[in-house]
Amino acid sequence: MNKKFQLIALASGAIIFLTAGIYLGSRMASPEKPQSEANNPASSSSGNSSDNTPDERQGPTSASAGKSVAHLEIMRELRAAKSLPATTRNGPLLKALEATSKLPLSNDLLDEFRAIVQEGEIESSHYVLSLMEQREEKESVAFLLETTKHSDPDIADRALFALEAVAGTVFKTREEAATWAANWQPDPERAKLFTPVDEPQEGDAEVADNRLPGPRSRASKNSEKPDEAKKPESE
Amino acid sequence: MKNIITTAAIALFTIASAQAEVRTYQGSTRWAATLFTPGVRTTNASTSYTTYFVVETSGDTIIDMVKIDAWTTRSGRFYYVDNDYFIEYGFFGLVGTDVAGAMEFGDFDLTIPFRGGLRFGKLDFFTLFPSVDYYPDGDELDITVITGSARYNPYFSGDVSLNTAGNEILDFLESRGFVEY
Repeated sequence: MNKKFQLIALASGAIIFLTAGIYLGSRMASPEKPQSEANNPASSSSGNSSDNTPDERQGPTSASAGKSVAHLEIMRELRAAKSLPATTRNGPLLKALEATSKLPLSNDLLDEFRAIVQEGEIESSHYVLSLMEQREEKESVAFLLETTKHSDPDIADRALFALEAVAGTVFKTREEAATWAANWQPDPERAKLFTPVDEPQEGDAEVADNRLPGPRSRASKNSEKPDEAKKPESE
Repeated sequence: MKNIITTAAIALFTIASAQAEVRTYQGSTRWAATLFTPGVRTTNASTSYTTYFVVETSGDTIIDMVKIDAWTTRSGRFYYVDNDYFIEYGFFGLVGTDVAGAMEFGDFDLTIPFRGGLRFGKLDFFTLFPSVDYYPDGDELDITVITGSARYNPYFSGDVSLNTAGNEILDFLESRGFVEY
């Protein structure tokens, strides 16, 4: 009798243990959604415009895991200016481009610049190249070098001028410029002045922990990528 | 006595000549302006130029300067020589590592401040601060922003005259299809 009772108790315990494990496992695999999303699943979708550009993509040129409010606002205005009719967009577009000089060179910004240059309009393309020239980053030099292959010689030559400004010399051929670019490293002193750092704005929801108010510069180690240089400093 | 004076004069002239040098800074400038046609329309316009800032110095003294702008339109490639360009700057900071100054462009009575850095004790690079609010006669133009940057370009620099360096730049631009505006 006692043995039977023991067997029953053991089996019951095993069943209870197994059931609890299955229940906890199912909870961990499917966490409950917040109440608001549970009531309105559509609110979890991102964006409310037809522009589905994935500007949250992160890459080696991205300054941080998130984008500041200022960054998003400047990008929004740039895209809005780009979408204006060709007869009226030049002024607003160049004004919006100038505002990007305050932003770090992120993938979404590079994509917008690339699209403008590929359109082939001289004024806006040259403006983009002028902005890229006013940076001291491997990514900006790579962009300029890429643009020296543009099908429009006016745009390709302007990119060459910009590379020559960065290099402080004259390139007789594009191959010469490519060789220089492959070996070039940003000058830390020039980078302090030429490379913008996203200033934290009042009300910004996403600002990297290592950002401090006031003037600052990127890390001076040439071998570090920009996102590595943004890691919190121990000193 | 006459020989001593002559020798001294020649020595002083030689020293002065040897110290004079030209430094060219290559970069670009970006302009924004509001154009008014009274009673008709108001438009915003922006543009950018490839710009060469050529500065002749003797020691720490600026002797002369010239600015050359180059740009491209649908009707061609052009350059413009601004002989009324003016620059002045000073060294600041704990060990003179920072440079601040101002520029004036020809045909416009305005001042553009800039900030820069040194290398081997000389101006090496700078950025222009956005500035200005300028109305010329006729109130048809309001320049709202001039900004840009430049870096030292040794290729068009050296112990040469301002004219020589300037002409080298013009020859170079003409080799790339630019003509004088």
